[in-house]
Amino acid sequence: MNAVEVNDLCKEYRDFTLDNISFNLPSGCIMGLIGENGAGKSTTIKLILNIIKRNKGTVKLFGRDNLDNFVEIAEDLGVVLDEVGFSEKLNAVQVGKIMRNTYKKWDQKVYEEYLDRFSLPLKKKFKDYSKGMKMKLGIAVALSHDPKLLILDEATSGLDPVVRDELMDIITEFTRDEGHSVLMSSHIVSDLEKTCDYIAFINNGKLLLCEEKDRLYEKYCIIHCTKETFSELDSSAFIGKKESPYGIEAIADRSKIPSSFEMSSIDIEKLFIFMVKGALT
Amino acid sequence: MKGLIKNDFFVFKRTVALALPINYVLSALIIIFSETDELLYTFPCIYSGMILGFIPAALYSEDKRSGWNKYNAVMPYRRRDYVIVKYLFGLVASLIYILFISCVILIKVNFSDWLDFDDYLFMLCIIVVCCLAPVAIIMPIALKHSPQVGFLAFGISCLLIGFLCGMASGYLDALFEENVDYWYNGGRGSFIILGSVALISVILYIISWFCSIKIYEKADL
Repeated sequence: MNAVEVNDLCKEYRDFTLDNISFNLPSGCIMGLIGENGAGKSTTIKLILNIIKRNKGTVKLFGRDNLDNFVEIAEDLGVVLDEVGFSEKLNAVQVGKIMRNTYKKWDQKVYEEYLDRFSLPLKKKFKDYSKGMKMKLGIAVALSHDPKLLILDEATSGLDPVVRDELMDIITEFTRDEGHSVLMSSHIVSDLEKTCDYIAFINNGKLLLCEEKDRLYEKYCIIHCTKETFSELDSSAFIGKKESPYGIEAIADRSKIPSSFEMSSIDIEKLFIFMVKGALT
Repeated sequence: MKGLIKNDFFVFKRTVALALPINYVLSALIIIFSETDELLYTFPCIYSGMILGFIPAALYSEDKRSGWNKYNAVMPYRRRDYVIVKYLFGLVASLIYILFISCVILIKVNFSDWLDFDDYLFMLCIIVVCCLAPVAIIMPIALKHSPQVGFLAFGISCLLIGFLCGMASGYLDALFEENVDYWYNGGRGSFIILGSVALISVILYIISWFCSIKIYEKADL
């Protein structure tokens, strides 16, 4: 079963269009949405969460349309947006009281354990929290009602590497249960590369690619060659290239490159940059 | 819905509620010690009523600033619940204030013959108008655009209504000079006008409540 099914999702703004996005996130998997700032990652997540209204397409969460059953669906969702939206006047104890009255499956003990694990002060006002502490409180809330799907929108941006690493560990821990899935967006590709099973690239409102991470490693490679050699090769093999005085660095489909060629393995960040900036015309 | 109420209660306690005790004390003192109509109607009725009328928009403004309006939209709440809670908060705060003022007036009536039931009804009508009209005007616009635009629209509406009332009163005075005086001095004229305005406010408030729900359900947060 898919935790998230997105089909032909469209949203039009005056100066931006999210154009026919389609992807599936199978249960028990982690998917990373990668894209530049303003590429459409947050818009996609907001549409999935019904924060904004779609112009076209369908979104199904756990097999149910998000417009028809959102109140029921939300019981199984843990969400951390780029801005953890608690009033600055509240403290962690008050947040716990609010959430206890919000989620049917709220587990106060789990919440308190997370507060303890994150060393979050109970009585300190939210406005006095650091960015990392705010995010940790958001994570604690998102995980304390036994959600099946965790959705994180730019949750790691603005955090220091130690906190980011801690967050990634929690996400990995969360998906040890097969019924748990994670959809997370970030422009910090290295974070996603470490944890995700599926990678989706979004650029300029369009989905460039959505694949299993390991499949991307198998499918694509980096080659270094001269301009002359490059021109002799099958141009359909390449998805992006970068020219320098020393030659050409290109990302290519392994299956279309002669095996005699020296191919090095790609990393997701490079693949993304080449796809966005070095697309062959 | 309980979580939303709880959140608003905490925010209310830390923000809006700070101004209310001062308001209550001043209003009570003015009613008990004031011997002039102007002060009696201005502070405890118009000023305090307006403050209470701003509560739902102030709470929404705080939510918008913190991002709670978006955050609770991904929780198991219907959007209409969010709007209902905001209106309920304003309504409950207004009812508590009316109850409080009624008690103070009751005390005053026991010690002085200056205030009577008619004065009480008159004050009640003003409070109802001042509590409900701001919510009715500000909230749908705030939910559609922003709290700032809502407050601006309310300010412009007040100016417009004031201007129109001034024009109408001048026109009526010139047209039916003695009759208007008789109508007012007879005692019921101002009651009929204020009662009608209060009734219009209640109707506007109910319409605004439904409009706000519809607007918020369709809005991109």
